[in-house]
Amino acid sequence: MPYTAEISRSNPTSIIFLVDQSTSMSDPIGGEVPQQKADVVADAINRLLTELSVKCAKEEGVRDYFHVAVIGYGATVGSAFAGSLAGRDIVPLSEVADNPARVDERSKRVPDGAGGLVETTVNFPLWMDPVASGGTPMNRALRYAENLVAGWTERYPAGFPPIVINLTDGESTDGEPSAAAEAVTAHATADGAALLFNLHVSAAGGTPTAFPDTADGLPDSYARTLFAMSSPLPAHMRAYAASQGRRVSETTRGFVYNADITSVVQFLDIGTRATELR
Amino acid sequence: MGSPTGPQRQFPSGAAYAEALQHTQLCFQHPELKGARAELTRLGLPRAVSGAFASVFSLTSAASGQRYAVKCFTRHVPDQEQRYEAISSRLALLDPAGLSQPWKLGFEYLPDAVRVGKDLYPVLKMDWIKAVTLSAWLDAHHSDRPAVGRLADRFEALTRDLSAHGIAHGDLQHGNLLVASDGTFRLVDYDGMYVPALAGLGGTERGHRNYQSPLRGNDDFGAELDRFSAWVIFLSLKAIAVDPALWNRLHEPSGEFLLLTEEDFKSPAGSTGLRTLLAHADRAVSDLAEQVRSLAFQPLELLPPLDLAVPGPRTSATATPTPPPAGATAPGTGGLPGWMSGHLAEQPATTPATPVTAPPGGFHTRTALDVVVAVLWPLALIAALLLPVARIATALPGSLIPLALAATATAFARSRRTERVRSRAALDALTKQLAHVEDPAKAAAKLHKERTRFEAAEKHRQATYPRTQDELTAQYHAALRDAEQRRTRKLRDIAKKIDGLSEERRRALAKALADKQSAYIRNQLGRRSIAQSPPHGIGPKLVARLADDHGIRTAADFTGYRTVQNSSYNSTGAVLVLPGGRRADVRGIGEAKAAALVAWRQKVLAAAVARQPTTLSAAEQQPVEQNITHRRTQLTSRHTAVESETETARKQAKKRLEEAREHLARQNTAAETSARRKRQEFSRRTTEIQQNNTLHATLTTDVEAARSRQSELTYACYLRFLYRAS
Ligand SMILES: Nc1ncnc2c1ncn2[C@@H]1O[C@H](COP(=O)(O)OP(=O)(O)O)[C@@H](O)[C@H]1O
Ligand SMILES: [Mg+2]
Repeated sequence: MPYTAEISRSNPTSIIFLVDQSTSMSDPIGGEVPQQKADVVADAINRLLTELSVKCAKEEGVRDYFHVAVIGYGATVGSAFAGSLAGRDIVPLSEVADNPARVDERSKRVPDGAGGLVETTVNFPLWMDPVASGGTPMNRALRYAENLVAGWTERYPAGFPPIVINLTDGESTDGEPSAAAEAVTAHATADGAALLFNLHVSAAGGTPTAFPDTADGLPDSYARTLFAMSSPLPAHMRAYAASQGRRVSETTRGFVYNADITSVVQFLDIGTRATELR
Repeated sequence: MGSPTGPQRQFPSGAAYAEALQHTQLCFQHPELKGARAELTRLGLPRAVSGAFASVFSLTSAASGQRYAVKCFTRHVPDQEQRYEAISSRLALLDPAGLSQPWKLGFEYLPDAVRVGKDLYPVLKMDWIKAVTLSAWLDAHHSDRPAVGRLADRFEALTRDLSAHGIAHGDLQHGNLLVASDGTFRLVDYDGMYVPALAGLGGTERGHRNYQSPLRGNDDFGAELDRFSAWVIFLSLKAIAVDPALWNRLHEPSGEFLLLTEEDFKSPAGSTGLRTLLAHADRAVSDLAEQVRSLAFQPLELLPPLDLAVPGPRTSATATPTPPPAGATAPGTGGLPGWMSGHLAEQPATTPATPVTAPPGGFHTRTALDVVVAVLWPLALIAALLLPVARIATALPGSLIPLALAATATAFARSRRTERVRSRAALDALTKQLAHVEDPAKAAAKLHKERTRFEAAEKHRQATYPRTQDELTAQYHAALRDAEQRRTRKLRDIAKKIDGLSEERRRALAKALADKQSAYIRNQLGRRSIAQSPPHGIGPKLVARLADDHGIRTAADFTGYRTVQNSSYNSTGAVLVLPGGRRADVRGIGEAKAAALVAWRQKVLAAAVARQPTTLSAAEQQPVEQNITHRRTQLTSRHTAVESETETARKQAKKRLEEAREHLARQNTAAETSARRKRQEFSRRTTEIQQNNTLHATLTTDVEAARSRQSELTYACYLRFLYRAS
């Protein structure tokens, strides 16, 4: 069975985020309190990096089950890490965990247990800042990712294959991205082909869709293209998505269209769900 | 995220707990936990230790100063509260004094104890245990053989404590077995524990994959749950106690296992770990390894408990001074190697060491012949002196005749002496013997050369073996990768085709509708006869001519007209265009009448278009839907076929790998055996050379002695002997 390799420190896997940083990412999304798309995406990734750090924490510290890259694409294509990791591509998780750009104090309203709410602050580590400027060079970003994927599969030929997660608001400005996407998933380890998942945050409207198994009902050709580019979810991710209340089928793809904020986080959680961390 | 009361309740993530625990004053109500101080990471977040089901935090109570390990659950566990209650009350019955060591963990299950967001979740509040995980302990202490041996015995005692009370832990492994500073175990993580009161419930987890029988299933839950893992752990500890080098050899740094992994239990033939232990020179290790190998294929409930199979007093592991494991090279543990005894017994027999009894030097004991010769000489001398005087002799040389006779007689007599015969024979025999004994120096040089060449070849072979193994693994991985790449490519093509189906369906339906509409219109046009309502200017004659000469009777029988230049000079006429493109030149119809006919047809057409059907009936849609469904089914079954093709390819690759590995292992064993034989042979030859060395020296001396004796038997010596006073 593919996608069943044990993820361990000697056989880690890599997670490569591709983050659309084009000008249009400054448009708002979301319900009651609209937020800029770029903010939502940066927040989700920062949260996820904390999540991964906690998930991989053992008594002696954070274990390198994962190595992580955050690649931005907009005015330029390259590492989106800020702070001491700036410029780095794939970084072992333990190093990521120890080196956020900064730790913000965020105010939060928490139930006080007596029916009311109190204002408190929580520490929120940040690795990347929201950016929104320039075009959407998705082809270049995918080729950048392909390069990282190729290097990784060569280094860990038997491990769980790399997971590439592309977060974008839509249309590529450097050409149709399908071929570049196929090139990413053409790389494989003994455990399976590299996975490419897409999160589409579009202004085109239409029904939000998570983990569909058909392009029917997607509002435009960009969404359909991104859907077609997305890998089917491996069995354990399907099972996890189902346990999170998502409807899934055998051919469910790692694609989410116009998800709300919670779904973005959930999408990342499902997309990075490891088979088993041992 | 899900309903907080449903059976499949969603739980907060580890990071969500870490955020909530930044304010223990707010998230807890329990007096010991409210306001407790959490241990923090460098980033100022509560430090977690996470597993598959939970994150554990260290909290020090503000009220009592007591330190707790607080386990926050990230996954739903069915009947969790009931389970913990049953476990708690069963463990409470265990008298600490009756236990082999203080492994029991104090804990309290607190439902609705921690608030995360709007909701309350349970926690397990445990006494904080100051101890390190078994793997961390082994990292530090694996070379302390007595300590590891003691730990193995304590582990065995721990499993006896559990089984004596019908309890099974469910997930015995290096992360749940903590070792305190006094070298005794603390057992943590009771999530999957079985106590008799839980007999009706199923298991909650399957335990760590590197410790479980390949046959353990999801539903296994009973008192014998720990047996396989107990054997695995016991084997590992015993093996390390015997041969501490195994820890570095088989345990990968930070690997999630001790010495053996899942692979070892699933396919022992192809795995290095178990094979190494099976082939270990120490019987205690190889026997235990054999036991684990055979247990991997037995149903869980048939596995023997650890204590039943530990022979003798359990202190043996610490007390037995174990010999270092002998490698494949010559055994050299003092005394004679077994194979040599036979050779040594034969050795003297094979050597031609029969000592040659050398005669004493010189001539001894005169014989009669000697006496005659001795008398002859004086007589000969006298004769030689007297003959010239008596002029008996005619010539001067004649006077030397008696002397010549005496000399000849002497030579004859000397040659008849046995001393000379014996000495000659002795020398000959010795020289012959010496020639038979190989020159030890040369033999040693030859042996050395052969040995060096052999050892170099062996070293090369031994270095190649793991490399070949790695190559096989790499080939296997490449085969799997190729299979995966083929699979992805094919599935993508199929998916594209499936994605294309909805477009195809839309097009097919549109075409069916268009066909239906044009059929309707054709039909409508065909129903309007020109005769019934002729357009203005078309009289009955023309109607008849249209019908009779050209078959044009209804609006369906023509489609338009074309103007033509009449052959008669300067006049424009018209021809009607028939369906299919042919033209009809109808006498009496010029451009005006043709236009009128076409306008009439146009009106009929417009009316038909206005009334044409705009939808397909279910029955009409059905063939299209059926076709699409058929195609979809085909594609889906191709999808399934690709999956099973891939699975087959993977299985074949695996089979090839296993066969190649086995073949390689067999080859290796054969090579090891022949290497051992070769080395034995070398050793035998070495002893032989040593023995020959002595013999050679003795013989050489003897030959020398014989030669010198030979030199004592010359003519002069004989003459001297003849007149020596004896
Ligand atoms: N009571 C405790 N005291 C100290 N450390 C503990 C305690 N309980 C658990 N731990 C630590 O936390 C780790 C994970 O806890 P565990 O209960 O095994 O969680 P999981 O079910 O996720 O494996 C253990 O390996 C151990 O290092
Ligand atoms: Mg555990």
